[in-house]
Amino acid sequence: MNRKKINGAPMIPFALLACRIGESELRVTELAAEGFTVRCAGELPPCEEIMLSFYHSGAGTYRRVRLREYTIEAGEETHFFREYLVLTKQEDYRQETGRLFREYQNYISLKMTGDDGYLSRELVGYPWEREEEHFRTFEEQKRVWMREACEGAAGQKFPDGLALAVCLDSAKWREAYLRLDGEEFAAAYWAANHLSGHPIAGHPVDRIYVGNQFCSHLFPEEEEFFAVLEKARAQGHGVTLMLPAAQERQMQERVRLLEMAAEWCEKRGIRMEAVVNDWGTAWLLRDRHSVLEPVLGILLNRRRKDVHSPYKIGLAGREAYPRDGYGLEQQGGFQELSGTGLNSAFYRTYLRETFGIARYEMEACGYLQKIPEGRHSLHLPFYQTNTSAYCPLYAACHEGSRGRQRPVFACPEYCRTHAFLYPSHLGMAGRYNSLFGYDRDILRSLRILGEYARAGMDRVVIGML
Amino acid sequence: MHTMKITAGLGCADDYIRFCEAGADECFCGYVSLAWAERYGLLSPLNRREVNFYNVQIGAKSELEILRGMVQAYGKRVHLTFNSLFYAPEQYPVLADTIAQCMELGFESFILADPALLVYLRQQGMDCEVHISGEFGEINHCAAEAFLPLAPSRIIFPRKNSAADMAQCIAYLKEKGVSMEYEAFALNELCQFSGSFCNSFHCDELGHLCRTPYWLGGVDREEECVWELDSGSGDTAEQRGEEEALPPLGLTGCGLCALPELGQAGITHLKLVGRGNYADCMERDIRAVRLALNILDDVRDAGAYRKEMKRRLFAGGCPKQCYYLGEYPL
Repeated sequence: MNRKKINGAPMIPFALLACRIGESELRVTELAAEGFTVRCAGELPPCEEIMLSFYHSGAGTYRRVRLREYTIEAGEETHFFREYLVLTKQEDYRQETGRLFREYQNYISLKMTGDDGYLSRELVGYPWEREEEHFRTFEEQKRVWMREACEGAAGQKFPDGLALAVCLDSAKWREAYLRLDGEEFAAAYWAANHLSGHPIAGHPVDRIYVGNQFCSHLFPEEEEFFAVLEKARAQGHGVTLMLPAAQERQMQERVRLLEMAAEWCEKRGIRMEAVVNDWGTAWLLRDRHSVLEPVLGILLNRRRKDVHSPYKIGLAGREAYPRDGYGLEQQGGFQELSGTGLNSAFYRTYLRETFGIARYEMEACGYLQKIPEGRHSLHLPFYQTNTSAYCPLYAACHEGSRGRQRPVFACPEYCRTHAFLYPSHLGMAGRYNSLFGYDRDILRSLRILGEYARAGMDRVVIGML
Repeated sequence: MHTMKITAGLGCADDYIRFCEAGADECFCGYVSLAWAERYGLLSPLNRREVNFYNVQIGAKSELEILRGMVQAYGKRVHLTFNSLFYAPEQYPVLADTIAQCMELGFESFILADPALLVYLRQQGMDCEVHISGEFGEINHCAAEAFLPLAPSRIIFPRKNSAADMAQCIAYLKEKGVSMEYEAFALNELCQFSGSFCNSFHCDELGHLCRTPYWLGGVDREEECVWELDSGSGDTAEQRGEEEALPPLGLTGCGLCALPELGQAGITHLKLVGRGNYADCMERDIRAVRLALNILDDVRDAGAYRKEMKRRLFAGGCPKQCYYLGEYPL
């Protein structure tokens, strides 16, 4: 069929431009200043109103243009669809089309440079020029960050109603825990982590977390593990077991570990928390709830966490931690990130009834979260953003390339000496098989912890990687 | 005759016929309606591909109708992905409604990564076919067993699972009498981190965290920092701005050497990732996997297969972006 040619741009992505005719959403298959084509499987629905939604990338929103003056011509018909040409002289349509072309063209040009940082600078003002700046060591960056935290928190009080736990997530901290007693250990832990001057250091340590939620190679050997449990018992500390996600080949070992831990608890009449990071381990625990209480781990409690948040369209310039806390009903922005499935009763019920899970491990991750009903723990000041089942650090140190990853059976623990360092301004670090962001506010402003305590959080867990 | 089928990522309805004719046995694609994009698109994407500037999703219901017609004509199924790792509480009813609409159109199978969504759909009495996404979480036999009551019909093993691990898990479920399909990654988009543990943004305006420049340095001792920038994976070809010549086969990830082991493990479907890649690349990739499967048919010995497959597909050398590194002699 002959129809007028508009010589437009073909196949503009639907997310940039969509057409609504009546109740039907239609794809624009060609776009030009004088009109556009749409297509559908059958006849075009009766046409009372045509609405176009143009994406504005700067704001991350759509602007609707209602077409009042237009003509429609039937176009090409294939076996699967028929095209229709819509012609209009409406000025707002022409303006929006021109703007969309310019934005689209600009984006493609920026992408062609091949530099994500440069693209981000041009689009959202990301400080690309600072990407070369980084600390010399992981410890140096921690020292600087914790000094800032101590200065910011001076004169503040650790909120009431929160228990304090520390993570023994590597051999270094476990060895210190076994070597030193009570307050001596706490003092050494805060000093080693540059937090001696922080109000949190004045609060007694109530509980220890043993193991590692992310890397299976950082779980202690049997002898050391039970030595830590005994020491914790003697010190009057509660114990939470941190179990990383288990791959199939690790399941036998996992079963054995749980059996031993359960036996240890039974003999002593103790119930111990076990943080699970894979559903298989949660399933294995279902017959052991009397001694091992399953807790939802970080890797199963998923939410959007990214150190780029301050530059993200829709989040930039918004208050991550509103001054009025939960009292302020924010619309959009971080409010949209604040809830997950765990805030739904149906899912909490499922987790409780299927796996016996009622407690969740959460992380301070740079914005105020909605705390699900119940009593939960807040990890800080670092939050996990990415984890690999195989180890990127091993690949970098052993293979010479972070991408050359493979299953690791005997790990030399390169993470004792090496870390991935990132541009300082981002506030992130690569430790063992994971990337972590640093929540710059959580230790500086203890008001936020107070908000969480009021919302149902009953424990703060310090993990210093 | 080989039994493994090819499931290929589809970025738009227009590529379906081409992919089928190239040898795909089935396709998968995202569907994000305008209503969702307008309400939630910016911060709560419906699935992992949250970019707007690329054709990575089916975006209009009318396009699904067109695709349905193609599926009826060609008989190769299309699975729809709803694979965000989580959703906000108010989104579950919206998703259930959207999935119900897709089912009315004749799409019966959905790839889910959020356990809560699977639970919700079943609680609503929705009996759609569910594929447990490779981003659902670590899959071991106990995890698979835990979700059997929710009746998934396929398990997609996550990236960074060895063929041996998959074999063990599949053997356990078979012994239990479980009837299930099993899918493994075969080509493209090998990430440096695991999808199910990846909580960072994948949007237009910011680089991926996994691709941010980094230095390998010391924990507490100053060492010469080695600067690295991952440029190998993460983006689709279109996103990398490659327009002209096709990039080499397997440049962003390849598991073709492991096909004998995957077949022996009981894998029924091979995932060819690349929703939104250039159709030319995808067509070339589908043909390559089809050829590899044909070679596997002809040459049963794993070593001989690898030799012949490499001779035919990687005459100029392979990019060494191995999905299953260390599982077979190179």
